[in-house]
Amino acid sequence: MNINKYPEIHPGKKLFKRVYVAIMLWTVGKAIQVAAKVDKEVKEELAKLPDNFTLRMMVAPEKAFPLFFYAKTLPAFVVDKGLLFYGIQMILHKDKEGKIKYLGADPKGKKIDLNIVFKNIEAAWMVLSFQESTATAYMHDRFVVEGDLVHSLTFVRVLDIVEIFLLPKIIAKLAVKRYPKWAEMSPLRKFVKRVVIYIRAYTF
Amino acid sequence: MKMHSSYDYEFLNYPKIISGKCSLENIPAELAGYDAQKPLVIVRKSLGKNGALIKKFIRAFADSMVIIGAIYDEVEDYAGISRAREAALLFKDRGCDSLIALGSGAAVDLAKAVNVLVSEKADNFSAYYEEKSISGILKPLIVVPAGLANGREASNNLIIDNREIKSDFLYPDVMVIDHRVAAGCSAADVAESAAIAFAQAFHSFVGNSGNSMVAALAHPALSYLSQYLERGMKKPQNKEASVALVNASVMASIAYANAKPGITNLLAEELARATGISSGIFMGILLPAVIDFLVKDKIKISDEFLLAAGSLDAYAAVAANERGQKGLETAKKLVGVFSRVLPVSLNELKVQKYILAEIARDAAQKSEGFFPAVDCAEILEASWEKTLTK
Repeated sequence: MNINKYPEIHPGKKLFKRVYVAIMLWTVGKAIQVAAKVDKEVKEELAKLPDNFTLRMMVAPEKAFPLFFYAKTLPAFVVDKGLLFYGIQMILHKDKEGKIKYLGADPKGKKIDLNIVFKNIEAAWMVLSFQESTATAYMHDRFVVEGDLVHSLTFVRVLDIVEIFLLPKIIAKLAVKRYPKWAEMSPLRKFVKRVVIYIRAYTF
Repeated sequence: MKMHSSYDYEFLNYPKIISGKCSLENIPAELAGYDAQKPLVIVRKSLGKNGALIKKFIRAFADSMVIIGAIYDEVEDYAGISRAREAALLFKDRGCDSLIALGSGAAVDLAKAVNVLVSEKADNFSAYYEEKSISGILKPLIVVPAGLANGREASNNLIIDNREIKSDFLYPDVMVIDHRVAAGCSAADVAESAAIAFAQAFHSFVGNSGNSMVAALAHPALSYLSQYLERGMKKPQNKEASVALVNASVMASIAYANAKPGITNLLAEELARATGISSGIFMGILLPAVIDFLVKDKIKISDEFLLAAGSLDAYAAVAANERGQKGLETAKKLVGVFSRVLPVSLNELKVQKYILAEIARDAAQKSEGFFPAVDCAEILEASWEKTLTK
């Protein structure tokens, strides 16, 4: 038998989806940091998390998604503040004072308390391109949670609120479990906070 | 509904099933769970020729740590030792650590055979034919079934060179059901697979009314068949129907692996062995005669069968004492659906009549006396002539 007839196959990479997922995780991470400051409901939800708590959202397997090639060339303040996306992870930290901080995409030297892991890039793509809501994705086994499930539910609720702030209704409806009625979230609050979150997330 | 009274049963709940959208993309994560990252893929030749499908399959492994050792696409309708040895050599040469069977039937049998050869460091199966048992856990095996199934994909046996080896270690570890692989066969293939799934689910119900776990799997298998068979045969490319029918096939296969063998399956397998024709076609021919025989024999069938093979409305509309009988009528209607595209008599397949007595004897012997040879001969006789109008 000529075994060369059956070559070894290296399946390759999905570059577009990688970049998209990285941008989305970066945007969501920064948006949660801002929303924790400007929105009372998000603040109340995040108050339920313990202090000194670090949360990470990532795509498995970790080794297949190293930091982007330019990550090492970025100045320290850009990396620390997450001013640019440079990897397919989102790390959020709640400090002693209860402040939420986006810590970028490099887990090195950080103690992770809650790890939300998408099983593959396709699962992350489905959720972050709003083809499936977070609740449906969990039901379909698209991601696993390592850590306290109660804390992950808090995070999912925060994620839903932030998605409502960030996205137009037509898209947000696909992404969240239940879109709030007018009485629950006034359009004024929604639009004002949308502008504030976008400005603050992309500026400082 | 009448509840089962017996809690004394055995059931091996294996393998894991992953079904639905993007299921193929879950294979790397499953392999990682077994500490494996270099599978050998065994594909049916007909599927291997479908370049687009193979491309999609490889694409599902992108952005993972998995390297595909090789894609061995020499499997046709028959799994033989020479092919198994070739694939085992490829497995060792490439340093593979797991197996994926893409497509059903012979590809799965061959993947199981290769797994025995590489895991047990064996060169042939002669010892296993003579009652040697498989000594331990084999390499991880993932099966991605296609539309044309032989009913052994999710079971604990393999047939190589027309001889059967049975062991609980032969269950695949994971079944991955994805529409990209499940859709794409002909209406006749769908009918053949449905005949096998129906026979397995039907006999799991009829012969094992005390085993609630078997019934728990046979029930959705029958429900899927009754809901999706028409649509699946009309449009074999339909995503929803193809996934539902492959699910039915997998569930029926697991239920049947835990149940007593059914008379249809025993006779069909003996006929297939004697003639070389697929057992699914024989099951389609034999089922009407088997159901008639059961009706004549006034066999008691669980009420739940009507609920599974019919619908909630049909179940509610029938008096409790008539549900068994009505269930058999519903079964016959369902058999009529796939019989439309399959041959309807043994005569039509040009099976020699003189072999029927021997087939009946062998099937009776295999059932360890559970089905007398006279009954088997009666069913074969009834299936000889045309039993259904197309």
